[in-house]
Amino acid sequence: MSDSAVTRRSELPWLVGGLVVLLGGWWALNRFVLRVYPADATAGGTVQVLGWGTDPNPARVEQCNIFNRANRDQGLIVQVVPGGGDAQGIVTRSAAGNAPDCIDVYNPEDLGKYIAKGIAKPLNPYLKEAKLDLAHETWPALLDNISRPNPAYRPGIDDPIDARIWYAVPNNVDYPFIYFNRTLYQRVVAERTAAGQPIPPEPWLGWTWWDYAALAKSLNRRGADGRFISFGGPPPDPWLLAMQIGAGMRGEEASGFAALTADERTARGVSGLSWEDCIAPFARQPDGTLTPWPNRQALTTSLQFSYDMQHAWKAVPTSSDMQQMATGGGGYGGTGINGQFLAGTAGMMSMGRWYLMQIRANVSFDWRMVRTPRWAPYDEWARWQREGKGPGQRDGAWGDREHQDRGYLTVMNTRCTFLTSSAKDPAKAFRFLELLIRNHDYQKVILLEDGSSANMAMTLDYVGKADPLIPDEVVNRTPEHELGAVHGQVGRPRWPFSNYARHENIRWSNLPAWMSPRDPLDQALVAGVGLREVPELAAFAKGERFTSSDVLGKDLAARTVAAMDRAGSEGFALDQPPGRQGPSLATMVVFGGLAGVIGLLAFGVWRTRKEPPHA
Amino acid sequence: MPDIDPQMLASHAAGRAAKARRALCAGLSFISPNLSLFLVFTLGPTLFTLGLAFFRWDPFTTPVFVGFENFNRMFADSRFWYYLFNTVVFMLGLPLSMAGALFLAVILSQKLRGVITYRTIFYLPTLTSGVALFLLWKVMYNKEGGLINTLILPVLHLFGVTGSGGTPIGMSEMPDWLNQSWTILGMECYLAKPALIFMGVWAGIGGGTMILYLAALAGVPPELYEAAEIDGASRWRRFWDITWPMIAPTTFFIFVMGMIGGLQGGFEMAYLMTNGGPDDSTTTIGYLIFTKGFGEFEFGYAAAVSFVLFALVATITAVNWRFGSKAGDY
Repeated sequence: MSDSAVTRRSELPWLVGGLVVLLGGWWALNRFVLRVYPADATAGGTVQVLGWGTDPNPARVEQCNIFNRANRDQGLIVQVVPGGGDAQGIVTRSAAGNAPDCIDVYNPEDLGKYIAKGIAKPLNPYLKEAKLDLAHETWPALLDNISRPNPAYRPGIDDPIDARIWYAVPNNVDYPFIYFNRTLYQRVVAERTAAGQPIPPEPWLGWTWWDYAALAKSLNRRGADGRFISFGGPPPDPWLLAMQIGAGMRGEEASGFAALTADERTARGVSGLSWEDCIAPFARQPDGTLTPWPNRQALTTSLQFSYDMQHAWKAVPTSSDMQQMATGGGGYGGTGINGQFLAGTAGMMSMGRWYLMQIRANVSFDWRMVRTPRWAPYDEWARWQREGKGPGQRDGAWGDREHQDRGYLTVMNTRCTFLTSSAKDPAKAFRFLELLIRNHDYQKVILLEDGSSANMAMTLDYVGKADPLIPDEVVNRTPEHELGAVHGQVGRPRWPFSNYARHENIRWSNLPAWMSPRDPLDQALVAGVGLREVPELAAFAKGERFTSSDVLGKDLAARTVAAMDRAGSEGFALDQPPGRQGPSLATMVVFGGLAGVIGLLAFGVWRTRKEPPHA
Repeated sequence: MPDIDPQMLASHAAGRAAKARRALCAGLSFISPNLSLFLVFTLGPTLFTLGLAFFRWDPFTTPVFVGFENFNRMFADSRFWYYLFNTVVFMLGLPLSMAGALFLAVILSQKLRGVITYRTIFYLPTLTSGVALFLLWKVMYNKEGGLINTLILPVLHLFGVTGSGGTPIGMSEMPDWLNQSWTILGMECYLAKPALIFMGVWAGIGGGTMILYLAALAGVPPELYEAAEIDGASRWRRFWDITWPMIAPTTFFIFVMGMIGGLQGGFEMAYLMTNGGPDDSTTTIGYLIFTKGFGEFEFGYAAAVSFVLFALVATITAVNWRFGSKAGDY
């Protein structure tokens, strides 16, 4: 008797052999043809790999290569860790002790959280060893984002670097522009001229948000079925607008603010506020609690303006429209407003300089980089309209004159990189951070493929000249003007978040929902108040409804502000030191009620079983 | 009566005990893979969550015992009660989907040509992943270009409904199903709630509930119907007096499971379709647990909410079991 399973020739050796050939061939292809594994990777002995948690921007490969070329002979290379920039991933990995060595963060509040949790390692010893003084190397507006005051510092005794505890090295710097589709504008000019309708002027250096609204409205075109063929652009972020309005309310500079009379302060809605409070996102109350947005008038006006743009003037699509047109996403690789602009559907888009290269590579229409509009009171703007004051002709205190006291508020943000407390060899990992701020090749990559360099001197040198690679940049002098202002060539306040150290205990995670354009404005839908015609604007926007900003949705703004207070209070409550608490009355009632119900049920079951069965 | 040898009795008892021990060991060894996984991955985390509810903890700091702080904060927070209200509101769809599923099952239990095909078609949505369904409905609810508004608009034109300005109503004036709200009697009423309930009813009609009802209907003895028919009972009387009581245990089971699922549910819907908005109107307890735990790293608070949810589910299930199980006694 023969057992077929035993006597049959096994195919297993062939299978194993085939797998070995397949895997070997795959390795050989990578090694010798594609050269995925560098031949000299281990030439210098053991290779230490640094992990860099960041986003998947293709420029990162080039940035890594700059470091790796310089350090490979010393057995040190850096690699991007996919998803390493994700906050939840960082939390999980750090808790497990295997976070990437270096991690990018995209806003100061995130860094604050990592500092508070002890994930970000102080850099002072490494900065001193490298003789790298960030206070002189990078933009002043960024310093408070990446460092905290050192309470143990002894002036005259300690190294000046130790005046602050440094937690991160800025990796780039960015600031928002408006990208403008000039081809679409010219098409609309032709259409409206043929129809005998007026058209607002193109953007210019001194344009205001009211001009933006009017221009955006004129670029909205709908098909016969009511759907958008093109639209002007998205509404501004309310929080950015609130800071701009606050900056305008305080007279643009400290001395100007001090000179305001009590009546003027009342008229501007800033009575009782300090210079800092006018643009600060939070204020500390005498009882120690923190209140979001001390400048309530600015916040209210900002929310109102954004609401009006969407729902009263219909100058920009509503948040719902935006969502339905897939304009929800931004950022690298986003398919949201970026995609709409690239497709020529959106006439304007607020985005950082980092998007410049993608636009250059992807669009064939005529486009411009123009400055983010500034704030001016509605009454002044209405007066300019009545008097026919166009670009360059606007007069008065809010006119488009260039003056050092004007203090345009440019929001600067930085992607910065910190060392994690679980970094295996922090001294070697710091070499990568040093490259991010000092290496010329790296700064060039950033300037060509990302935002702007965090190295102030290199950036000013670069944008001060017309680069033949980026001729668009000199149109309207946008980067030159913005960065020149930051550098002090044009007077302006520092970025409001530069006083971030005051707010390090805030739970920012409670706030984004209220800061995003969508949620506060969606609440506006419930306001349901009437509209009022403004006759003086009828000539400007013929046949279209225009309404003063202050007659709509006051209830909305009040409710939104109250909701922000609640959200803020919730976060602030957690900053109180923990203490043991007994159950509150509500807790006792809830648990007592549930226990009572369970007890009654148990009693019923017990009684049922105790009763003798019926005969 | 013959004498019984006590020694033999003791020997037999010892033998039985040894046999019982061996059976126990064998039984335990058989269930040990499942039991150990249950202890490690279900019971352990459950007990851990229960304990965590009394601590303030994020993953980076040592947990600090805070007594009832998390519970006190939760019960004093009007938003928690609002989210609980939302959760209960979304459960209003449960009776509707049960009624729909029963209606469908009754029809599909008839001797129709191609009934297997119909059953397959109605069960198909269950095979689709929840994420795909939610995204599909999000697109359908789009204000402009969404299927719902696209279907309604011609009907409105047919009836001569006009928009602002006296012209035929346009797409831009159609309801924004997931964002719009009205103030009615001083209360904010959000369209997203009924829209999501409707979607839930649609999803609940043709799936597992229908299959359960089909199985229950197949188990009703046909002679009961025959007897009732001979007695002259109408179709409705046969349903009400025979079908409904006979399938009552299944109805009870579906209801209890639906209640439990409803109390725990709403996360995917909120996460994928509305982010809990507008104005938190679609935030449920399940979504609150996620945002508190993994959005704000307040694991103690999230554990406290989970604990309360667990207690609620247990209590409601116990009440259902105590009073609802009698539905099967006939």
